[in-house]
Amino acid sequence: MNAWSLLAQSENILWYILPLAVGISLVYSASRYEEKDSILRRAMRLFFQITIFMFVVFSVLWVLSYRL
Amino acid sequence: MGFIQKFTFMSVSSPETKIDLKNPILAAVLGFLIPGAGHFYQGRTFKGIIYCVCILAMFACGMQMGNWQLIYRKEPAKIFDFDFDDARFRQLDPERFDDMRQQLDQMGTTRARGKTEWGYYAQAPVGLFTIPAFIQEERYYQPSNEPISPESKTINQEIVGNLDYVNDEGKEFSLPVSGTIQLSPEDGEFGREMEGTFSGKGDNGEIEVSLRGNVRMDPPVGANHYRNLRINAITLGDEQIIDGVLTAQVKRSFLNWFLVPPDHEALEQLHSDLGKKFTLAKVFTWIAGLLNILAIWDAYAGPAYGYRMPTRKEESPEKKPERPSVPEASPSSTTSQNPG
Repeated sequence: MNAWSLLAQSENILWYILPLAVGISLVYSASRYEEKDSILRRAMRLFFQITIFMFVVFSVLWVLSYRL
Repeated sequence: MGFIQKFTFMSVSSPETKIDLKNPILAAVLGFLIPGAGHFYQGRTFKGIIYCVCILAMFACGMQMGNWQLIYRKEPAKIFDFDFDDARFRQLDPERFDDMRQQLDQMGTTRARGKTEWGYYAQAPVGLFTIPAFIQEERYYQPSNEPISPESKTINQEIVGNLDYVNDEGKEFSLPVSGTIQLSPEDGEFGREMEGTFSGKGDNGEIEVSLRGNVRMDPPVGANHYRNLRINAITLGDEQIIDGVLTAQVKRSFLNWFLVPPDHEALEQLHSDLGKKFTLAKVFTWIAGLLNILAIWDAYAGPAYGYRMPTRKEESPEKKPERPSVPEASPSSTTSQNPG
């Protein structure tokens, strides 16, 4: 199964990472700074960092499990 | 404590960015009880909204995914499960049954606390929604929280269920019913048993069923939203029925199921219904609890890094690396721009 069709399955629990990452980014950033803009900017950066990191991990695992 | 004061001072050092933490201990306690409440008290509304919405939403999502049965500190010990099926256990292993029964009688209860659910301590920081689990645990394990037996008092409950029976001509029927069941303990042919009636609606209008025999009904306090009930049916109106059983579900009140430890049956059901999502649901509640520790600390001591993120301009003098000095008198070096 190719990576995109694996991700496209609606019941794939990987999609739960996104709301989880949004919540974690916002709360973590809010605990670091007080100013609204700083919180939002940092949260956005953190969200992308988490998402990209998870996507890289997913890709590595997918490559490793190719044709298994 | 000195560290905390210093830390607080650093966070709110600039006069124009001073944060009024009011009473930090009270704010932390409020934040523990309801995520974000400490910040609302301090007037830090934006952060209060972030904490409240994100943490509670994450927690509620997890709870909803896990059928609201994920918060418990101790699960029941498996060894005592047989109590829910006494007769079968007695038949299969009479010697072991007697030993177990003796042990249970000595303890004065049919349920005992099993292994600790360590995840509970990650969930616990979402205070008001997890701490009552201690009270519910006590209520669940108290000796009076027993399945209904012939020794019990009168039952008068609204039910929704199913009447399965074979009539005197040998035809099988399965009839969905809803109505009121009234049972009271009586001396029967084989000792104490429950006797009474069910009156309510069936497929073809109003029905009345007479009931008698050994009734089984889950304990009043339990993690499932419904208590299962099962009793033998004797007549349907004027018609004698053979091999009739009324199975029904009686609604538990919110206080009798919320944060109550699930028994093994309920846990196994959850695992089979949810599969991987069971663990995922727990992860949501764990993360919500752990994130609230950050929120509580923020309410107590202010933001960890400062009022705002440093701009690039502010960052640059610190971050700009110094140009490495060119090694001196290297005869082979041709890239040196500073021959002197």
